[in-house]
Amino acid sequence: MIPTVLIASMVVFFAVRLIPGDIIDIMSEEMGTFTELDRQAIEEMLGLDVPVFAQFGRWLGVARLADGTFKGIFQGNLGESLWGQGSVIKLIGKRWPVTLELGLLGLAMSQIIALPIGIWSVLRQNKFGDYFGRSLATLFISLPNFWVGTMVIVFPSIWWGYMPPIMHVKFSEDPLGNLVMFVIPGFILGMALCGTTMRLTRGMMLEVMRQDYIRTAWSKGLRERNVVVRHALKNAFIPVITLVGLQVPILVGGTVIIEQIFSLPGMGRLLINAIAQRDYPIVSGMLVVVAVAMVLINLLIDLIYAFLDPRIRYS
Amino acid sequence: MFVFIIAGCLILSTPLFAGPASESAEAGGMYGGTLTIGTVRIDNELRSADLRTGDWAMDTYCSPFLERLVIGDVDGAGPRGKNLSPFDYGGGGIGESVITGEIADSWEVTPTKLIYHIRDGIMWYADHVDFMETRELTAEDVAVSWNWWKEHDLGTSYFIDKIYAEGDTVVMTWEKPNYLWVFWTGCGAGGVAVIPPEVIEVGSDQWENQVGTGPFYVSEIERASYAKYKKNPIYWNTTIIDGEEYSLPFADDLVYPVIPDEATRISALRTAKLDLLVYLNIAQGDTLLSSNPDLKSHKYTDSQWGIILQCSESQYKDLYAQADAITDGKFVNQDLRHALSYATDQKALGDAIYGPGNYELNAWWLPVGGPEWTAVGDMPTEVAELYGYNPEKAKQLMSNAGYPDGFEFTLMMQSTASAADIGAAVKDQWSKVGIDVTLQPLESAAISALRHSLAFPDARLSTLGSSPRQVADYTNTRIKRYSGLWDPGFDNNFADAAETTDPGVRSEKFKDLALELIWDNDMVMLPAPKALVIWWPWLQNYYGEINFGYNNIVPALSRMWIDKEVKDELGY
Repeated sequence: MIPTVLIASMVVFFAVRLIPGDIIDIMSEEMGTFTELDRQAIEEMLGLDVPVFAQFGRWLGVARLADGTFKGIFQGNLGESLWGQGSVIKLIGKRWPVTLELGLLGLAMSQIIALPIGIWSVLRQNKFGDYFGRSLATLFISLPNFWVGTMVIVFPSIWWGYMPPIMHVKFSEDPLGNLVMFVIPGFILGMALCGTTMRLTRGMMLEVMRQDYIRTAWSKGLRERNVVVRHALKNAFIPVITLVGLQVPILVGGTVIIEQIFSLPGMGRLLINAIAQRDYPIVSGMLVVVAVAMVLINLLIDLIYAFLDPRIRYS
Repeated sequence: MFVFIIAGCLILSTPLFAGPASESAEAGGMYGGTLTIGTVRIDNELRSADLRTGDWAMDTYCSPFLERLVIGDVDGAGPRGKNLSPFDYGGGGIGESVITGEIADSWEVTPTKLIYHIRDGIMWYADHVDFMETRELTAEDVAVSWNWWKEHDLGTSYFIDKIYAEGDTVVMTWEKPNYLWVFWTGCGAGGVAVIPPEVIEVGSDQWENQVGTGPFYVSEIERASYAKYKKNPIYWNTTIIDGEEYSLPFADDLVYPVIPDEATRISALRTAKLDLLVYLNIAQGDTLLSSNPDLKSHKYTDSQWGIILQCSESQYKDLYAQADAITDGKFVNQDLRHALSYATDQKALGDAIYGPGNYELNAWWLPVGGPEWTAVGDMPTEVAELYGYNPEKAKQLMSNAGYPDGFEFTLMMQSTASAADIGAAVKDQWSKVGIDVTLQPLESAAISALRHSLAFPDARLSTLGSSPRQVADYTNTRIKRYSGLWDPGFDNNFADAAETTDPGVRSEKFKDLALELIWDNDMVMLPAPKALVIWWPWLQNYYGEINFGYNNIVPALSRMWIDKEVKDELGY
């Protein structure tokens, strides 16, 4: 895990500095006049006056800062915002709950909708229920979430004079208000995953339902519910878990657009704004956090395999 | 008979049963309520309250609590008073004739000094912080704030030498007068706003440290979500309505939600989650108004677009390059520059992109209709013709310049939808006269990097800025003219106009200089679109003003009130 995170952080650290234009260019642009800035002084102040490799060393915490101290990842410090927004860890700390809630809601709603419909499709194969489920899955996959998000904002405002809240409501202050704010964007975020899960569930269930042990279960006179839930679903679910694990990064990436449309102050917006403003510590810090989260999620997926399939044991 | 007596009694007794009469707008203001405003500057992150960062969005978010020495005269010069200015101009276009004192109650402009007399009785409201007490503002506070700003000066108040307090006045010395004093010391951007020394000491960049003298104070900031302000209970300013004096502000709370997506902003206005939206482009505004006839609106002219042509690469790179070095730019030949204008059908472009009547051909320099502005119809014929469309003349001029078969060049522009529309339209028009343009859309930071590396492209599509302050950027008196075109005669005339103290004489000089600049044509003019400010009718005492200094709508906000009856009647 550590080498993976280190390599990812290195790639991100250097890649973001390859983007044309730096923070000083933006500062002078925002002043609105093409003046001669004291570039050297600002670079010194922001720690950008040393070579990129030295900056990376400082960021990791293996090279000293100008004041002689070590303040990097290895010391648990992700740096300070170049635009004076304070500690990167604090910034991420304020924003990650929004993205986490959005992501979890998206994930949960997608699975709550996808699994029953996927199973229903199998049980009503080649009948209306199956056609409906498959069409719905295709629709969810093909509709881009930014378009759906915009339509969900615009048309209810025209037809019914309604739109979701535009200012963030914290869960601790108003749980119901918070859920009202997040449920629609959460669903839209999870739509594509929902469609993919529906299709995969249907496909895996069809395969499993044709197995001999399922035929045996039917022939023993077990009820449909027992056959599906206790015998078929558990085996069909393993690839679905894999899919969910692979889709989580895509889900996190998709929060940027959803947060923008629904005015949610999450990590996605923080990242995109930091890139636009060339706030390198925020970009690097956030991507380290995301990389760590992805690695942990994949670890969790692997552990769930072991739970679902007794044949899988990790030494 | 009996029936008539009963009816008469009922009619006469109606006032007893009707309840208290509603306080209409004509009768005066209503106190209370929350104003929710969609601002013109959407800063996604509300990064820092420190105006030294140069982030102009912060002017919007700091203006509710920070004040300036002077401000646009909202009561006297605007639609509420003599109607000298609609105050609907986004840039720094506030002139001397339409300002009034804010922190200063009067001022003197002399050949060597600018003297501001500080108003008595203005208080720093600080009950919400623990590092300072609520106290009276002094001239010394203003001097400290100004010197702190000047320490970090990035060239904005370059013509001010020293700043010091003298009794109840703040004195700013200069070598010679500069007309830009109104903007750069009075009512403009950045550190022109006055902050207390205590805030400088504890950290002016933290939102929780903000203290000001304005009509509101910061109550809550959630980055990327909203900025909330509460009414300053000891605010010094008042307004007169129908002969009666009212303390300000009327609203108890002010909220600026951060809504980055435009469709979401429009929906928020439509569903009354916003009371007012300061900026909406004309196409979307017309659609919104046609589907919501209750909404009120005011149309104003947005920034003019133009194409800055590279006239001299070496001149661009070195301000003091020798005169004979100015032959190395693609567009050093004026015939070629004029050819581009003649090849541009501005009317067709404006009609196609913005709609008929929704643009202004000449919106450069001070506000349309102002003393420095000339309508196209009033310009000298040869200058006015540059706004026309004459592809045959374009080809002739290209041939004179040595390009009888046309030529090609790269046009750099921002990667925005507006720039893409305009870039594609001019590319198409110019192709008809043999000019082959390669469009190069770039992110704004990338464009900035190219400019600062002095790798100036052939041409750049941009909004031009719309005030003499920004026109100063195009002269060589202080800042390099973006095109690299060196015209010492113009620069001398501009410097002379800038030092002219009589506003009327100065305006005439700038009016002539504007025509000269247009004739130089190192910036091909393109139509300036109209935009809309839109609000719900329950907002009373508002006339469509959006700016009293620099993106500062607060003087109008403090005078607005919410008519709850009207809001109820409309079902909100």
